[in-house]
Amino acid sequence: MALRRLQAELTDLNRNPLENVSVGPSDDSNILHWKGHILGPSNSPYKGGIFKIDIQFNTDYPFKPPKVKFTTKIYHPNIDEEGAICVALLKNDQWKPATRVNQVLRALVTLLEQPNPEDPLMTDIAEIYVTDQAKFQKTAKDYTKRYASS
Amino acid sequence: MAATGSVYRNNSNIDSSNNGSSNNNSGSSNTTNYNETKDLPISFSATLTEEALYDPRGLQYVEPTQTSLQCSVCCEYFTEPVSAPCGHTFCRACILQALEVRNGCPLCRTKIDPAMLYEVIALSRICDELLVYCPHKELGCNHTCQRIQIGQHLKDDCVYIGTLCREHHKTCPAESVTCPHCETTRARLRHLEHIKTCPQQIIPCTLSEFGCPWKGPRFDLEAIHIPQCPYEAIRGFLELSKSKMEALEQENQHLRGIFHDLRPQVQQLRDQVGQIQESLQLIAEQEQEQAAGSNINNSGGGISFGTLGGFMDMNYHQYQHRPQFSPRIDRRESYDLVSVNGVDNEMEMERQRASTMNRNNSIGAESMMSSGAGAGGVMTPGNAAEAHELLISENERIRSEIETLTAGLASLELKQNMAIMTESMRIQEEVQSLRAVCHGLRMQMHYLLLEQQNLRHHPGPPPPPGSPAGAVGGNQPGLKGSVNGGPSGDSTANGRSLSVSGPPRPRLSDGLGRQDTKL
Ligand SMILES: [Zn+2]
Ligand SMILES: [Zn+2]
Ligand SMILES: [Zn+2]
Ligand SMILES: [Zn+2]
Ligand SMILES: [Zn+2]
Ligand SMILES: [Zn+2]
Repeated sequence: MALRRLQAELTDLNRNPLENVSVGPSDDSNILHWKGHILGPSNSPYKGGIFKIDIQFNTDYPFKPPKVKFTTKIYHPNIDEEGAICVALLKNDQWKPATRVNQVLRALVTLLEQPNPEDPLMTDIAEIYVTDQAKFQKTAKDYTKRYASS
Repeated sequence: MAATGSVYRNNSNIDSSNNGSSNNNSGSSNTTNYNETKDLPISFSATLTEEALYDPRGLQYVEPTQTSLQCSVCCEYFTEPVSAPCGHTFCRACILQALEVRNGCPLCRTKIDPAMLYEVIALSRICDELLVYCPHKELGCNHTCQRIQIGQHLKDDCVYIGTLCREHHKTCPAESVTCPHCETTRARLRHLEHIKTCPQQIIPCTLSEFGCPWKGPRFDLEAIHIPQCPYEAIRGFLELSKSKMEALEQENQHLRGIFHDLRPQVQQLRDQVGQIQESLQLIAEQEQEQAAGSNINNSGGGISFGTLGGFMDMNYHQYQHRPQFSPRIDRRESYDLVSVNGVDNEMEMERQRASTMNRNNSIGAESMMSSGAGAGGVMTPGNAAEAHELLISENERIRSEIETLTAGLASLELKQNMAIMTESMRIQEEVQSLRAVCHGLRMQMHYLLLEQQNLRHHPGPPPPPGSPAGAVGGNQPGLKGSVNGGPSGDSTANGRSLSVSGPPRPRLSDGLGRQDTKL
């Protein structure tokens, strides 16, 4: 089931590629492990950066959510130092089997555009985001330049 | 960026607003479909799952999936679609599987009681009419039909199911076959590969072509037989001698070809000699005729001189043709070149003599004519007698010339025959020597095999081949028999090797002795 659905999703992603996102299996023998990258949105301090992501599916996909994380260091209130992402639709208790990979990826792009400080993973960054927007912008840009530039 | 954002927002809209809009849907479809479900028989999917031949959701469709007819869990065309009270539709199997993991609609997470799922008959029919490939497509079944009929096809028509196999029973790639050697069972398709490596299959030794009589299961070949195989030990030698034998055979073939090429040439030469002989005989006959008629008719003599000259010319031409053949011989028989050239020289000399003779003849004829003219056309007895004498002497000379020519031709023929004989002798000798080499190889092999066998039979210290046994066997033939005591073949083989290795040794020691004395 998981393999057939992932195959179908991959075919669909190849036919209708997402803007600023590219993704696919890391090697042909294992369709359960995908890798990709997201270009930093132009209306965000992450502009100009390339952020690598890693998606690990399980054989019980789509009944359980995939494990998604950033492998590029990023300064963001909802992404921790390990790259773990706090986003509602990927949480175990909120995952819906009908959610597809392209929806997950779109959610990640949106998260970069609009961080969610009400449900933070990095409380200190969230506080700066709320109190000192200029400082947040600057630090995020510095991080992007330092870690996400090719 | 705005685009992606808005799309995402759309999705979230769907997620959140579904509850509201879908309630209406569920209400209407609930009432309409539920009644139909009661009346109509269950859709084909149920029967297929009963057969448990395959996952019906794994069917391959002829046309690519349309999103409107797609289950959002498996991303395939709906199979036995059911709707939840929230209005969302999934395959029955998909929603049940999802509910097992977590109770909630896979799309809107509304809690669902499995008993509340109801079949969407119209959708089910639409999806059942989609064209699908036979699940045995990979095995070779190219059948396509409506999805609802695929169960029937698998049951009755498809020839690629082992249990339902019909005419092609003997060759069906899907039928399970039990290996006759190791008694394991697999599909025929796999069996064909298995048989190549089946550890229990009886196979001959890899060196059976050299005479190893061993036969046994493949497993034993590597593990047991090869370490013991007497042929394996001399494998290198066997392969070498095989390649040598092949080379010799090839050479033999080549020589035979050359011999065949030579044969028609020899025949041609023989014919040539025959022709020459015939023409010479003709000349001799005409000569005799002329000698008989010359007394009566002088002018006839003149004509016959002319004809004789013509014959001489003809012969001369034939001699000129000769060199066309001689080079072919020369190429092969360089030593024969001298003798053939000798014949040519002889012929040249004869030709010169004949031409001078011709000249003499013409002079004679001229003088005859002039003398005739001098006599004013009247033949005087003196003149006649003179002419007669001249003719007789000419005849004599010509006869002797012909004799030498005949002798020359005879010697030529002899030499040709000799040349042919020496060539064929040479070829014969070569064949003989090849045969001897083959024999030698065979003897060597035989000897080695026997020695191998001896070694196996008497695993104790083997008699060192050659030296001590050789001394014993060579000096005391009586003892040799008792020492060997084995089969007669054995003793001959040993005897042979002894007689070969025996003689050189004293000579070697002699040489050393001489060297010693010199030093
Ligand atoms: Zn489904
Ligand atoms: Zn729902
Ligand atoms: Zn079929
Ligand atoms: Zn069959
Ligand atoms: Zn077998
Ligand atoms: Zn063997």
